Amino acid sequence: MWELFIGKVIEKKFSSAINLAIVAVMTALLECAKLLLSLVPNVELVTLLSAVFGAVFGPLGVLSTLIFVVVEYFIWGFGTWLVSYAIHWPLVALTFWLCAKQKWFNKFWATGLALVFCIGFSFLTSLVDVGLFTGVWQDFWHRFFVYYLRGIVFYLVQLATNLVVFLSLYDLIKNSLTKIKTTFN
Amino acid sequence: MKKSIAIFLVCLTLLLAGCGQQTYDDGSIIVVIGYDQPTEYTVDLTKVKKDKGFLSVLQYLQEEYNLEIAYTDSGYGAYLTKVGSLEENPLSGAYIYVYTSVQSDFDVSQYAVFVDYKGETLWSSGLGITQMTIEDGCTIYVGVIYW
Repeated sequence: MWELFIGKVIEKKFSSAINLAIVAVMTALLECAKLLLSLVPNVELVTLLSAVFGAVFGPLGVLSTLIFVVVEYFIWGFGTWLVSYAIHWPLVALTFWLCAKQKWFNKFWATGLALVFCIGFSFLTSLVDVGLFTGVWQDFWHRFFVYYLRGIVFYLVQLATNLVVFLSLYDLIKNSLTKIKTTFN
Repeated sequence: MKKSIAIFLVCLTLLLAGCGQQTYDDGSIIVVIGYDQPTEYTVDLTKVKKDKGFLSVLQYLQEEYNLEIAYTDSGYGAYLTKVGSLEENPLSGAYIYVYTSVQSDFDVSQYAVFVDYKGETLWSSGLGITQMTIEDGCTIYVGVIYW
């Protein structure tokens, strides 16, 4: 039953060459945005792009974030950060896909949601690095507190970046991509 | 929009500039280069510039003792690739690792590793070399780790 349902979804959403190309372009944009800004600590556009791709292209956007995480693995090798990535970026795209369907969801809601995700990302990566999933639990919360405080400047930079780029670029990119999408339908 | 981006860039510059600042007291510290037969230097902090944490100490050793060092610099701080004959080699998984006796700098993550030197247990540093605490009497050990 489930296999049939998933098969239908895949057939409907991912089978055409255009959809395949869209996913490839979105993944490439995510990776380029990541690499382009990698020299500036925690200034990033991946949150914005994941959100917009999810909001406009729905499951294709979620798929592109998953492939982006796999590409990251091939570039940097396996690390516990990959667990955080695999949870975080697809969740951003998925959440924006679901929220963008609501009429009340405007750029201010999008900005607020992005900031919540940024805070969540800082907690998630710190929890993983301190050893939540690997059983290194001795003095866990004390170590987590110290670790989080050491990175707080970088987390603030990420928050400020996303506050600015979501308020200034979210609607712009979303509307442009929506126009492009309608030309394919 | 231009105004908000300009304000953001100014704030970002101030924040990141603040990250690299580290001052320390006078006195002396011990720097150990962790070869099979470790080489130990006693460094008089009055002779060291006080602007780049442990990197300033290494640069002093480079000038005074011809200790060869190489590093790359980015917004995250300096990243050591060579100290003396210790050298990073990603192909074999070898990376420069820095250990410290300063408790406030101990690595608190799951990646923390330790080295014993003359009966003292040194922890891998949880801070980059430009942010490390340099205080009178501390020991800093530079070694290689294989991931």
